[in-house]
Amino acid sequence: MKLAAVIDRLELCPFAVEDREIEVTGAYCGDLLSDVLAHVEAGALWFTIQNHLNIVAVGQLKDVACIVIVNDVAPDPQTVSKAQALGVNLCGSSRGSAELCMELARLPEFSP
Amino acid sequence: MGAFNERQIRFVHELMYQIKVGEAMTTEVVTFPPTAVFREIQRCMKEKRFSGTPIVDCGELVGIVSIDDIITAFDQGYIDEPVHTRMTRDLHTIPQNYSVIAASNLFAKYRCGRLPVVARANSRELVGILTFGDILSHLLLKMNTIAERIEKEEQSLHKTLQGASDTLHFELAPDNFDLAGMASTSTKKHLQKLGVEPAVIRRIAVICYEAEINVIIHSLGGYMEVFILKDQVRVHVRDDGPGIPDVEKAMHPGYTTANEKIRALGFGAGMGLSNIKRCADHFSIKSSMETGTDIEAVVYFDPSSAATEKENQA
Repeated sequence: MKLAAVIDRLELCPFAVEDREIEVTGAYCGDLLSDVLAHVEAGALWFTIQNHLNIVAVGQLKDVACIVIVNDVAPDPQTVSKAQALGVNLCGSSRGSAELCMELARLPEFSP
Repeated sequence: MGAFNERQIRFVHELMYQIKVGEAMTTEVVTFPPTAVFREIQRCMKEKRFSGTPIVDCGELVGIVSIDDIITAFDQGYIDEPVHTRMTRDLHTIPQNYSVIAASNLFAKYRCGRLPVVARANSRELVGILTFGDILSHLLLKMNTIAERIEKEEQSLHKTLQGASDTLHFELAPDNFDLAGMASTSTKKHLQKLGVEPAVIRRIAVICYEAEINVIIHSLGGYMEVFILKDQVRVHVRDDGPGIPDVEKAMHPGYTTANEKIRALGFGAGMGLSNIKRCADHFSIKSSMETGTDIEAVVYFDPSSAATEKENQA
C-alpha cells in the first residue's frame, strides 16, 4: 500500500513527506530508540511519542517508510528540518499508537 | 654476565628460560684424547681460534684444557708433556635439557667462559660445548624471529586496512545529541553509493548508531572509524573513558546507567551493546577504567563468510 493512501486513510498530518509513492509493508510501535533499531522492519510505519531529532536518524538508518509522531505531540522544528534534509517521511496524528495500528490492520490491503 | 640476573630484563629473561642448552650449544666440538700434549692443543687453538677444549677418553669426558692451562704449561715448562697429568679434572658440566638461564648462572658462579654439555644429568657423555657467546647468538636469533613475525603480522593488518576502498573517520563529542546519528547516516549514504545490499547496510547502521550514541551519552568523547573493505566493513569505536566497570553486566539487555533525562529521549534502554553484538558477525569489546572503551564490530557482505567466522569464534 502506498504511503499516500495510508496518509489519506489514517488521516495523518504530513510534516515532511518527500516520497508519497513508497510502499508501506507493516508497522511498529516503539519509544525506546534501541528497541526500534533492533525490531522495526524496513518499509514499516513507525509510531512513536518521541519528537526530537534523533528519531530521524533512526528512521533513516532502518529505512522505515514513515515516522508517525502520535498523541498530538508536536515535532521539534529541528526534527522537521532534519527529516526534510535527509528525505525521511514524517507525519503526525492526534490518535494513539494502538488505535492507529488497529485501523491500519483493518484496511483491506493488510487484512488476510 | 650476572647483569641478566640483576637487571631483570623481563622479555629476555623469559626467553632465556625457554631456550634449552641443547638448542644453543655448538655441537661440532674439537676434542683431544688424554695422551695429547699441551703444545699440540695450543697450535690447534691458535689455528682454529678457540680458547678451551674438552679432553675425551673412550667417549667419556675426563677433563678440560683452557688457554689458562696452556699459559701455565709454558710458564712451568711442561708444554711438551701429555695433558692427562695436568689438565683440569674438577669439571663443571651442564646437561643439554637445562635452560640457558641455568648455564648463565653457572658462568657467573664459577667465573668460567664455557661449559661442556653432557647428554643428561650425572652423565659424562659429551654432546657439545656452550659459551656465553652461543647463548647470545641464539637469543638474538630468537628475538629476530619474533621481530620478523610481528612485522609480518603488522604488515598483513596494514595491507588489509590499505585494501579498504575507503576509511571514514568521525570525531564524537560527549553530550551532543543534536549531532547524534551524523556518523551513522554518513556511513549509510556512503555504503549505499557503493551498492552494498540494503539489509547489510541496516545492520552496519545499527552498529554505528548504537556505538555513536554510547560514546555521546556515556563517555568523555571519542571517535569512530569505518573501514570499508572488499568483503567486509569493520567499525572501530574508541572513547577516552571513563570505562565500563562491568562489561558483562553492560552487555546484558536492559541493563542501563543512563539518567532520566536521557531515558526520556528514548535512549538508555540498555540495549545498545547487545544490539551491536546481534548485528555484527564478529564483535569484541575491551574496556579499562584507565584508558576507556574500545569496540570492534565486523560485518561481512557475504553471509557465507559470516557463517565461517561465527564457527571459528565458537
